[in-house]
Amino acid sequence: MLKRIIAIVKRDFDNSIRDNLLLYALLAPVLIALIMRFFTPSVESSAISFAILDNTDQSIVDELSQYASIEYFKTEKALFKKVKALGDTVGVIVSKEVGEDKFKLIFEGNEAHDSIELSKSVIQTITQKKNSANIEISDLGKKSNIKGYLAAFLALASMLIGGMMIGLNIIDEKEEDTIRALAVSPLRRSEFVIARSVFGIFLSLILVFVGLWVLGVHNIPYLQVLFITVAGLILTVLFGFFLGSVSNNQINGIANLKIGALVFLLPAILTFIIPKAYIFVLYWLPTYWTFEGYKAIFVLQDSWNAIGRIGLWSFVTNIVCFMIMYSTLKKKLPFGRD
Amino acid sequence: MIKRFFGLLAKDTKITFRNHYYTIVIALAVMYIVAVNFFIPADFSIKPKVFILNETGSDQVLYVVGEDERDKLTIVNSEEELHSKLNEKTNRLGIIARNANGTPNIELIFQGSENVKVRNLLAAMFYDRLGKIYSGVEDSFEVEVLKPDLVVNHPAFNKAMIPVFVFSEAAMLGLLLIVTLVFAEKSEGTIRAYNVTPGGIIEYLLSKNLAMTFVSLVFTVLLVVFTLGFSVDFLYLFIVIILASFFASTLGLLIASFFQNLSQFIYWGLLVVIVATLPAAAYFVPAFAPFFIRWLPTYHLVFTLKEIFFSTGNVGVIYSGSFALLCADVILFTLTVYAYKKRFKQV
Repeated sequence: MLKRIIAIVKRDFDNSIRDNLLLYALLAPVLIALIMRFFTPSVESSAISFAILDNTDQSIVDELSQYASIEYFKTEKALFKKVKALGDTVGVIVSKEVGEDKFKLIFEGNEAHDSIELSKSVIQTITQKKNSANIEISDLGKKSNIKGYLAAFLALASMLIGGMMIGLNIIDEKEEDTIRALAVSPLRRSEFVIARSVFGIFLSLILVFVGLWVLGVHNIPYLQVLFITVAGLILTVLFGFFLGSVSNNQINGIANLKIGALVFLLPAILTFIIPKAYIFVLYWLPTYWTFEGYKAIFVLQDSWNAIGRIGLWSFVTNIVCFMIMYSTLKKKLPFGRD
Repeated sequence: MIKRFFGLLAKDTKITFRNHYYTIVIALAVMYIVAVNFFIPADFSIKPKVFILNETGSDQVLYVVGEDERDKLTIVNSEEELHSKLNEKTNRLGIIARNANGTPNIELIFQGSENVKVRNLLAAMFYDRLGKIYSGVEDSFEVEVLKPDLVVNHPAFNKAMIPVFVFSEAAMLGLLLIVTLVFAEKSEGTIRAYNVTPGGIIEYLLSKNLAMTFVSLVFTVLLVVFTLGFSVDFLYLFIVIILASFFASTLGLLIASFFQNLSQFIYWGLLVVIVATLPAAAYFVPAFAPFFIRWLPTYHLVFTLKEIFFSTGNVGVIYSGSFALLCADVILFTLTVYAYKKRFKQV
């Protein structure tokens, strides 16, 4: 039995190496992680953006850059053009009048309310002399959440890629009719399922950790991540088999992947949108728990207790999902003995 | 040639029908319609919830929190309670106001996860408001509005998501789907057969593009009609979706020309979809516009869709966005025709 399973896994591995599939599957999430890493600081610090002239006093530029990203322009015409371009960039022109700096704010007229109000507050703060207010800033020492959320999304997406690989391999076998040949071989259904799953599972596990590492997540709690990933792996495998079983060819495979990937990732997106009081409507979805697990690890830095509870729910919903889908899959992938 | 083109178009449309592309986009549209109308809240805000400990003895200081943010304000009775509230959940801000001979001293307590510029901005906002409340300070700068006639819309949050949904689904749909048609024809030997007919590359690629555009239009019409109704300028919308769908489909075809099969293409295809949808971030954070993002045609697309759905009267955005897409379409299509000419020779 083990020999037959190893033979199929080896064949999958050889195919993946031959077509560079493994390389591409490994590279894609790594590049996604790199993109996320590159753009996150830029998005985080982009509450407002100022366009200023090249000849603005350095002391004013230094002050403005504490609040916003700055772009420089040689002429007023170029600065106006930028303000009128897409996005919310506010122009700031500084001139000297009787030895004093005079500020002029340039708006296009369709900026978001916050862009207008915050820009005015910044200039007011820089120029006010009579204001006797005193503001101190302190913090509770927590770390940025954005990277934590990105890490949770990336880990979930990496699991999806493992499932995708399983599904695409099955579709390939269907198109090449290899699956029919396997069906008349001594291979059992359970052996086929295990063999097909092994590759996707390992790929998912590797991708989750490599993706997190490339994203720059420090001090990854390996055991907790492994626990949540393993608890959700049944769905990865189910996703792959479902994709492979309902798709007769590559054309509808991609169409099914399109909607399947959305369903797979949707619970994670909905956690941000659905009001807290209605979040229970997502409890039956396995990927909701997987995402909550990753969130508990990377965003909330929860204890093993909380993570264990989420992992358990994830496992239970995965099993229920498996039981519901088993008969459908059995019909769709008629395959030898049980 | 026209007869041949329509023959190809009929064939490609049939293939998209048979392979349930229309079923899938209708299902997707229904999902988004239900989400917009029933699940996504209309008044969702990412602004932090504010907790204030007021030790000034007067309610005047509460005016540091703007009128539109009052529903997010909670008054607490002690520093312990304030810290405990801040530790409970993310996206919260604490304020302690103490009296200091007239103008109160304010301590802003952040959770620590906020970017330093965001902290400075909030501090500037409170400093400005305190100055106006307690010292009667007036704005000390001039303001010039370049287009004072623009009407600024503040759509409800659920409706504000529609441009992003149309952008990511209808416009980008073709990038992955069109490729399957080409790879399927390659594996079935149809390309080899087509090669010996008088049919040209241009009509071959155009018919596939147009078949995908129909699919995109079905999604767009369903989503828009059942969420925004008929208040949208459909002529502009159709033009932009046709140009955008053509862009995404042609880009998909061009990338696919470097790969032998769908399994090889799919990972790179997904990566390109992610890069192409990066400008969606600029929709939510309009000040986010790195150089690289501004050169993507999809950056123009997202703002063009925003203008079509929630018009400010700035028609120039639609014209310039459409022009950017048209230029990208022409360049990409030329490259794609060249790539497929080479590829057809190798088949």
